[in-house]
Amino acid sequence: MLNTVSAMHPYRKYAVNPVSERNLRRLGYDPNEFAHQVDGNSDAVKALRAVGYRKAQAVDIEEEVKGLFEEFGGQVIFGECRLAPCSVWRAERVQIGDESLSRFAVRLHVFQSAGPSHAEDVNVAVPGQPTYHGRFIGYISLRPTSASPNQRFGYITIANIAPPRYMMRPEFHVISCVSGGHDSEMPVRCTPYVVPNFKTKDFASCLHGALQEALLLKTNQFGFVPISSLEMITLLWELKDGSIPISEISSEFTSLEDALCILESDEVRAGGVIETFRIGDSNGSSDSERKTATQNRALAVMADYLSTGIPVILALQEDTDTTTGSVGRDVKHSKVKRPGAEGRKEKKRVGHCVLVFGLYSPNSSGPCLGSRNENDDTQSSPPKQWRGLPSHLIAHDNLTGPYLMRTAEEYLEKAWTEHDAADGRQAGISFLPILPRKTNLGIGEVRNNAKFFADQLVGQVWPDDIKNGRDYVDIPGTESEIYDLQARLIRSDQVALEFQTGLACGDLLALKDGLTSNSQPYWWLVDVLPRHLVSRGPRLSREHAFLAFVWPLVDAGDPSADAPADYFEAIANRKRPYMIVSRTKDLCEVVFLRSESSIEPT
Amino acid sequence: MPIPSGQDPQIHVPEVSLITSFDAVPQIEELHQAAIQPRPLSGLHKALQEGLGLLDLYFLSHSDIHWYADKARIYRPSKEPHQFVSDLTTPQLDRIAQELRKSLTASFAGRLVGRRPRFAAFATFFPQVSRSAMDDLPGVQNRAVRTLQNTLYLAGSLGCRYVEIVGGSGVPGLDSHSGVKPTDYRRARMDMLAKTLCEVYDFEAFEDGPPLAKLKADGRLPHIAVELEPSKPFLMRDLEAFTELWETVNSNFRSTYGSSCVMDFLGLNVDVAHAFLIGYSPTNLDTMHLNGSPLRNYVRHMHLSDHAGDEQWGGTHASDLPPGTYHSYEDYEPWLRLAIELTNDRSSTFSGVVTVEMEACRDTTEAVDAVNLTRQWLREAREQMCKERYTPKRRRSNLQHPRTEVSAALLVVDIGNSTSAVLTKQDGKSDPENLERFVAELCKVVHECGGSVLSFTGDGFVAVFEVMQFASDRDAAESAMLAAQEVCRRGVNQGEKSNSRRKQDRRRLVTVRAALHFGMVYVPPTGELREQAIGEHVVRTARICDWLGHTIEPSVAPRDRQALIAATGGLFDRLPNSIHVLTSRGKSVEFEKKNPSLWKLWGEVDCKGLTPENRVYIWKQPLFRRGRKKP
Repeated sequence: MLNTVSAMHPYRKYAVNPVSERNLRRLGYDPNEFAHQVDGNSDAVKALRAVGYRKAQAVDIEEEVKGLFEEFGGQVIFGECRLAPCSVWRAERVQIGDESLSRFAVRLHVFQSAGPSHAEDVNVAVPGQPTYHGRFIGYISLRPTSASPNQRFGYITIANIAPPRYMMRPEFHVISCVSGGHDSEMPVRCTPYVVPNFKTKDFASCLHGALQEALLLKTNQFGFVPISSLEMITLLWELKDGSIPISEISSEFTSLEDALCILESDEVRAGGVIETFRIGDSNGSSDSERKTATQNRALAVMADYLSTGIPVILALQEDTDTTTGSVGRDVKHSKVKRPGAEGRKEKKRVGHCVLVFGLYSPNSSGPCLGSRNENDDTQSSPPKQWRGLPSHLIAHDNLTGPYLMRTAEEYLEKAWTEHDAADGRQAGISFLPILPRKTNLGIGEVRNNAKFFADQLVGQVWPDDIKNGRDYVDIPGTESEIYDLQARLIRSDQVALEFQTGLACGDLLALKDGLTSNSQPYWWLVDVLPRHLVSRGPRLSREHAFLAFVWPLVDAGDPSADAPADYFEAIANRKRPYMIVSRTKDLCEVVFLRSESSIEPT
Repeated sequence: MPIPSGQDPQIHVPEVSLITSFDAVPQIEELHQAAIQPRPLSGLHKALQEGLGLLDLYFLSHSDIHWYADKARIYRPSKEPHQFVSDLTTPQLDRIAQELRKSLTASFAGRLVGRRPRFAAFATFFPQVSRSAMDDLPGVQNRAVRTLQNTLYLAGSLGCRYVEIVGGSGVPGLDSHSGVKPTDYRRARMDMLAKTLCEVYDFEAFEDGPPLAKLKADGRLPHIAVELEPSKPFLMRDLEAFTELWETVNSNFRSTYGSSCVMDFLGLNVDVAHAFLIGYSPTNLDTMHLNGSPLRNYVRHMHLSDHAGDEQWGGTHASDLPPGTYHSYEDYEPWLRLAIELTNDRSSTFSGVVTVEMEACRDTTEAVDAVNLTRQWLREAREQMCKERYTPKRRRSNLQHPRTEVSAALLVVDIGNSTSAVLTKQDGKSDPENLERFVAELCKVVHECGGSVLSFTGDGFVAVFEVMQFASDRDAAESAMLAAQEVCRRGVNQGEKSNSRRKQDRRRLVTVRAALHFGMVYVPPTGELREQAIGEHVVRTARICDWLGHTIEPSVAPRDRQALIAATGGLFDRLPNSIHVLTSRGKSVEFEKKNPSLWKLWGEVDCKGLTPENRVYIWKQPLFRRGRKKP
């Protein structure tokens, strides 16, 4: 029998034995009869059988749940297990059209297993000893029916599971949300993991899953409406006015452009910008150098998105032995078909999508990576490091699992698409960040704009010791040898807060008025940082920014076209290095210049 | 200064019900094979155990099929709810109705005084109602019609006036290769839904279909209330879809048999949490018109819960949450006011009930708390309306109020010698607990027979047998008569038991007097006198009971006066020709109603201030005493 919880926390109420006599009676069983029927099964299997699964199904689910928590290390233990509504299953059931299936999913609460000590953190389960409910790691909704046998997570619909504990260290940055309230559960900080049902013949499911995960992640912040895979198909079908049969919409490869259509629809009320980095835009003496530079540019922009709390959908090309679903504009254009049963033996590259929502940026003296046991950091050697850029990315992959940490190099390599002679498209990388509604200016473009201003201003306003920074590190593909750019998403009121220390009262009011009159709730703020400071690590950077630019997320034009020359001259004469530049529809204007007294060069 | 609740008794607040789907138990196929008895209906049993007496029956969840099949004596039921329901025959539906009535009484653990547990409405989920030939599913539409007809019949048999339905999907299946345009496809589905509804109300559609025509003739045919679903794939996803459905019936199917009935009986089930997500408000219901009438006049029923989503703020349609979880009272207030206004509008066909929907919630207490919160909010809204001097809209007509004036058989029971025989111990001390047990036992009899004990008179009670809760007024009258017999039998037995503990003392023998009558009774659903029987017919019945005590009882020999029953002509005429009579052992024997050994026509009885009752029958009660020959 399962044991009780080892530590006292509010989630203790879920640490119940799902096959206790009380619970069985509640479900309508005679406990003795039930015990006779399930004799010999594991506790987890008994719990799953009590909520209606057959033995074979219960065994499969137990394996799935174990697989789900591979990145966590250690074992998991089941808590409360009951029928409950699930929005994804509700939509899927309509899609499947089988009325013999239950309307409800099974909601399973999961804990990490622990030993009998009453302190959770020093409480490690010992093999052979009784296990207790340790740290609460969230709840999972399970389909009542078996999904495709080829799918690794055939039963799991949504898993609201907390990150592994080792990802809570300062070197990690994981975007999460407080979830559970919408399901009448106690809120838990997690990154929702969605696995669409392949039985629905929805081959774009990996993209749909990633989209839904991103929407769930940012719903509370941006007011999105998270919709399920079926709803996305319906939406596309209606947006295309039925010109393509719904069977084709659901079965053909979907592109990032389609995903953007879904995001920008009135039903979803989100936004996004497809960030594309082509090899032709990068400098280098060889293709290899240009490719590295392009990948670095892409990674720098992606890191900016992730650092500011924006998840991105990355289109990949996977080998067929690792995936069964496919998506991605590049794959579509390269006409690689999703393999059928007969095609699985051939090793082809097919499209796939993951949601990247975290990064790992170790200091040079930091711990090594790749550990799967959160209590042991020393299992693998460090990967190739790029100073100032994350070494690893953290993603949900609805085929492989949640919280996957892979080297940035690996992901960028998989995301790389070669030159397509058919449509003349250059080799490069594309990804889709999930942004507030109506956004049409992404960090990629913002950084280009910032570079235009920074190149002209840095030489005039930065002190020499800053310009000739010590500890200079070459990063191929970055904007300048002197400075680095870091973009952030901030709210209007935060812009004022950001610079209020050097702002006179009148200026502050003017700034606030200027920002609010623009009616943009969010802004891009680009910090221009001396390169030698960036090399010390990203956490030092913001307070040492010498230039900061602010752009609205909407309606940016070409910065070079409308910047008046006297504007820069005015700045140069004043010699005020801290400044915010606000870009409106047709003009860049100085909203605020920081006072000289606040300059504190290193 | 706030006006205390109830200061204006003319403003009623809606009653609050709970959908039984709040408790979801799994379908256990493997383990069911070993089960001997089917489990009781999940949510129904638990809600009744919590003392909730007004429920919306979820008809039907997968896990309940076993119970229904057992009661209908079906040995290999379909696993699909809609298929299972469509296969039911009328006798099977009657058996199910009877068992559901029994379940209501058997599981109820609430107060015995008040209206008996009952169903306010049926909630269904049969998404096949709009499936068309375009989806290559031959026969599915016929089955949908039959499913809905059977549901209407069962609901009507149980006294429900409202059946809530969903409109199904508005998107073709994912294997559809047809290049149809979305608007055309939705149009086709809408046509099919309209056609289905017209055929549902075409009572001749099936030769062996349920007798809906009779229900309609009796004024018991339920309304269909369509619920809007806040999601792209659903057909009925906004108010425009509802008006389109109604217009489709009106324009495309006008010539069909059932269309006029559909236009009378089709309405809207407002799910307030869905309304938040879809983005419509009571204002929209006032500004949008259908057939020259604002949409608010089409609101038949209301569901209340919360979702973590709102058209304005984003969010999602996930689990049902207790009201107030993501939205505040202020968000709900316009809807609460609408419910109160419709409840007090005599021309409205609103159910007068706000139903809490908490599908598959964690615990029964969560659902009960939601019910209590909804009641509190309704009271608050009413107080605010009282402050604002809200005047209920009433028609100057003789229309009876469907929610407060009920046609019923009445039973007034009085216990003679209760103080000496039941309330006093042998040592002369008072024993109220004994009287409590005694009266509770008699109240349970009324519940078992389908009646409600509405007023408790110390050592007696007033019970009503609402016609709506029975198949017909005959059934109601017969049940009241059976209840009277059983109350007398048990009362006498209990009295004798109490007496046997003492030495036999004839002066301490209990006498049970029961008066039966039939008429309209005013039963206010809310307010200080909520769920009390009020009206001339109640007074008349009570006076006949008094008359039994002071006129008949003294004239009967002591050994024959223990059980006295009188029935007015109104009730007697409604009794079926063949009635059931209980023997002293409680067995039921069938007799002709007019058998002279059963009843004696007494004649006129003075009802003190009321018009004298012309015909009063006295029950000769020959079967109560052991050793007597049968008549």
